[in-house]
Amino acid sequence: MGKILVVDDEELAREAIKLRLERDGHQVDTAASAAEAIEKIRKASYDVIITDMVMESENSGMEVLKAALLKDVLTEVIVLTAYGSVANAVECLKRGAYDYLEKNIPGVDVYDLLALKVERAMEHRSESLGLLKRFQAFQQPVAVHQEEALD
Amino acid sequence: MTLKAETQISLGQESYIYRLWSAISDTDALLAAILEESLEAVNATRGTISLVDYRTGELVTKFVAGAGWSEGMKELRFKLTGEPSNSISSYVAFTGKPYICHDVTKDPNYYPMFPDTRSELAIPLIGRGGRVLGVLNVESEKFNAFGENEARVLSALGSIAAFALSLAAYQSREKALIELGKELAATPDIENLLEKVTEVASQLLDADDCSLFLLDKSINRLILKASRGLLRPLVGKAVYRLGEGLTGWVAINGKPVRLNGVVGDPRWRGLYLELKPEEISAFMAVPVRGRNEVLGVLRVLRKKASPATPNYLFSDEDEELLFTLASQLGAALEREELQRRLFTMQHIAAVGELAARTAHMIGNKVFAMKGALKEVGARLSNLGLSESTQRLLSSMERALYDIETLLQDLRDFVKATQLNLQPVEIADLVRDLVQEYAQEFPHIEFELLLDDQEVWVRGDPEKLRSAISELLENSVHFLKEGDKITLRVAKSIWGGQKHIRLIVQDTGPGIPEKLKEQIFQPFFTTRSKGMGLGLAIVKGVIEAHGGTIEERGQEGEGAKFIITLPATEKSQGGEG
Repeated sequence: MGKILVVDDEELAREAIKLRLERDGHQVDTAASAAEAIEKIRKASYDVIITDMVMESENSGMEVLKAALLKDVLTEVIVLTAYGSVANAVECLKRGAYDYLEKNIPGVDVYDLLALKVERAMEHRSESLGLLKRFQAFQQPVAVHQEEALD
Repeated sequence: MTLKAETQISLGQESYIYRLWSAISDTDALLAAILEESLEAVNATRGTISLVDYRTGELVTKFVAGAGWSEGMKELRFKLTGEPSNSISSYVAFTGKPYICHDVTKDPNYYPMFPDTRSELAIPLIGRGGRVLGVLNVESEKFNAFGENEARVLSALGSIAAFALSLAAYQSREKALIELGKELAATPDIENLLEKVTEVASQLLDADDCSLFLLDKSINRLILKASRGLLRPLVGKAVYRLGEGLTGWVAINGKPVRLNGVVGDPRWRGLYLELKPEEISAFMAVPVRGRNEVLGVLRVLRKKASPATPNYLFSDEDEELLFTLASQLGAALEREELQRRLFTMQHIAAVGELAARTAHMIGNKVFAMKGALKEVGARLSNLGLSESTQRLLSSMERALYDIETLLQDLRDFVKATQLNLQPVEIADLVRDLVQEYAQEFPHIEFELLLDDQEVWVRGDPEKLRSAISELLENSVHFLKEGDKITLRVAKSIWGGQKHIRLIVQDTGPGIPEKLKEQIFQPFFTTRSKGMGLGLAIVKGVIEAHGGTIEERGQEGEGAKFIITLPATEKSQGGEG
């Protein structure tokens, strides 16, 4: 199971997401602002970060995304959007976010949808990590080869 | 006297007149002075200047000079005809030609006034466009007192008089136009303004009636908006189709019409008459133009004093004047429309801003509540809840979803005016929608009336689609089994601008008269679902496309929505 950071300035939303994901067995940490989230990202490492788009500013989600990718480029970031911030979320996708989720889709259980997206993000991350390992493993002999050649 | 000497005298007198004129701003005083000079110049005993009253078809004596005039003779009126014994002056006014009478006792046209009169000379005062304004008449107690030379001298003096008369008329028109221009710019109430225009036009043009028809785009008809005479009770009711009658002809061709009477003109329909057709002496109509299209038609009429009276025609100057009035009005109407639209847009933008913020905040809270509710549900599910408790939980969840639907409405409303413009073929779009709805609502009959041609507009296909779909949704909501919805797409052109009209008509209960004003306002609804933004969004979308939407159905006969959009050539819509 993954280590997840939930960032939202709405306490009730933070708690609800935390509870939902904990039911799936994830280890969930929370932050109430982009600033707090960035602080936590520096100190700890997370598999998946779920962040609200609009908090202190219109672009809070983007700041969290940047901090997360700087720390670990394979961190999967899911951006939450309420009305009117979809355009910003799409911008986040272009900059490397894994996915985004609209908070208010009438008739859809968005918490289940979020849980599903987290599962997919975990898979994606482990695929990426696997790929990275293979790449590193592939690079290793090459490096040896080069040294041999230099000799 | 030699001819040369006489000419010098007359030139001397003319320059005297000019000096007089520069000192006298009063046209009446100037005309009186010209008459005095005329007597001296041609050695006449008496003289008159009479002016034509086209309204009554009479020549009215205005100025007299010389001895022997009694009060009763000073305001004499003569009928303006070529009949004999009707006075030499009125004969000259009728023919427009100078007239030398060597012996009045043998002249059939002579009308005896003074026993000592023997000969007469009369010349017409001719204004711009060849119209006879009046007659300068002199007489002598000698036979053969006047010849070609006298006629030439008198004509020179007469032309100054005619010029002075024209100028005076011009100045008064100019003054009235400037006044009206000021009023048009300052009058906030458009209805008053329309009235004012017809009033000023009748006054300035000496017309017996003036009517203003404005184009109602949604029904493609000209509707009487203001009138001063017999048509007054028909304001709002008298209607011409485009191309119908003279008025409709002017609207569709964007050109003025000026007629000598109306009977016999093939375009004349006589649908709405200020006067009986045979009583109409002259008819003139000009288009009221906006920047791109004809907005309406302004028409004036003059009445015949009697069947025998010559027609009192509108001159080139009259047409210019009416055209100027119509242009001023056109500019004022367009400004009004622009202001109204700007206000609506600003209003929508302000409401939109508020709505967007509110929706965002509420959306966040609702999201949190959904999560909490879900956790409660998850925890309680292990405890084996009763069915009624389960129902409570799910109805809470449904209520939250309903809130989200309302928020979505609000978002759509805010987004309505943000367009992604591209060429859109309306007929196709409507055809698709109708197919969709016909499948979904098999109990309702759908009728689609299309021209064979493609109709292109520059627009946002998604927004247009959802706007039309909202109309259908509205219709369907009120219809019963066997009811029918008709959609018609038609092209029309007026004043060079192409438009498309989409009419959505149903056989439902229709919209109550008292609600018609409100249906396009935000937050108006008679339905239990939704927040009543539907038609406000539709209107927002259509207006953002530079179009209009109106409801023109009769209560009890069904609703009828008419959308007008500016049409483009397919290629024109291509950029962007």
